[in-house]
Amino acid sequence: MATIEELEKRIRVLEDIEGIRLLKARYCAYCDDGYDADGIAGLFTEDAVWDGGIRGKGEGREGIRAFFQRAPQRLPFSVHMVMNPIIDVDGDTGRGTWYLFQPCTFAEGDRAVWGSARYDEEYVRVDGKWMFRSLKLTSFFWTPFDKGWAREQFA
Amino acid sequence: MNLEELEKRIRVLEDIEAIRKLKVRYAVACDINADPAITYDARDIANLFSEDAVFDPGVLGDKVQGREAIRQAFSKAPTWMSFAVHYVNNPIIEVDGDIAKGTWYLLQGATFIKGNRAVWGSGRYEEEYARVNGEWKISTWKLTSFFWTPFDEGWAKTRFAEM
Repeated sequence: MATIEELEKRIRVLEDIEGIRLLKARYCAYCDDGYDADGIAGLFTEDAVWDGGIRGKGEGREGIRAFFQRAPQRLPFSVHMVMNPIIDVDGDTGRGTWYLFQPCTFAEGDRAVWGSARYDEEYVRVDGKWMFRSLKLTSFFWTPFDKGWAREQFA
Repeated sequence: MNLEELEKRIRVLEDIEAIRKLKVRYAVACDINADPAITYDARDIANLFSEDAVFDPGVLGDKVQGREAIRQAFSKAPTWMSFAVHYVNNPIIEVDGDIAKGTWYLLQGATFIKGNRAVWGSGRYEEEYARVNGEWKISTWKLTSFFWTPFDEGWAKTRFAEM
């Protein structure tokens, strides 16, 4: 028979997975709200790293804020849809992978683009709140709307 | 309310989460692309199914039964598809002890080797799951395709591209 403490631990894991899902959805909402750099930066720890691979990099909360302040110049429109979460929680830290599907506009050439990538992420609970400690993007494609990944994988 | 009742309710939520993870592992295992973290291995995919699982891909191929037959079906996929990203959504999962049922939607970016064509695919999965030695496995898998349309044509013009 399980004890009340054991059950509480199991409920906490489920709550933490849900908390991390919400963190990720908030990140997407801030991104699609014209890249709200303060909102995005507030989801990352002081020493976090946002590593977008071919999409650029921001180090530390201030570096991430500065990176996203410039983002609307390159991406005036974007819709972040995230799917396929695999989230593992271990006490006050967590790891997750997600897939991104992103219709967006590249300012250069005013082009509609379909984007897709995989996220590898680490999370940490700070003052009872889940935050990103690292986010790494590995791109599947950023293809012009009318061409497709078979003809042009990266616009 | 006693602890036993609470434990049962927690277990249902844990089982739903475990089945969600199983499905995402399936989706990631089926992807074909240059990402070094993603390797396509038909054995890895087949291991997510129970020993006597039923696999029915509808317009995409023949219905087969058994893990070995499923492994063979997946080992053929890279001969007609050179790129694949599976997005799985809209889960409805119902757990009943050591068995469960689920439906999911699929959106898929793919490249068909024939003509080197980028294709959007979509379908609905109807699945059954079984807990085998404490681990959830897919016991029935059926895909009803909505479209597999050439990227530049759309489902209104060409609902199913040549494979």
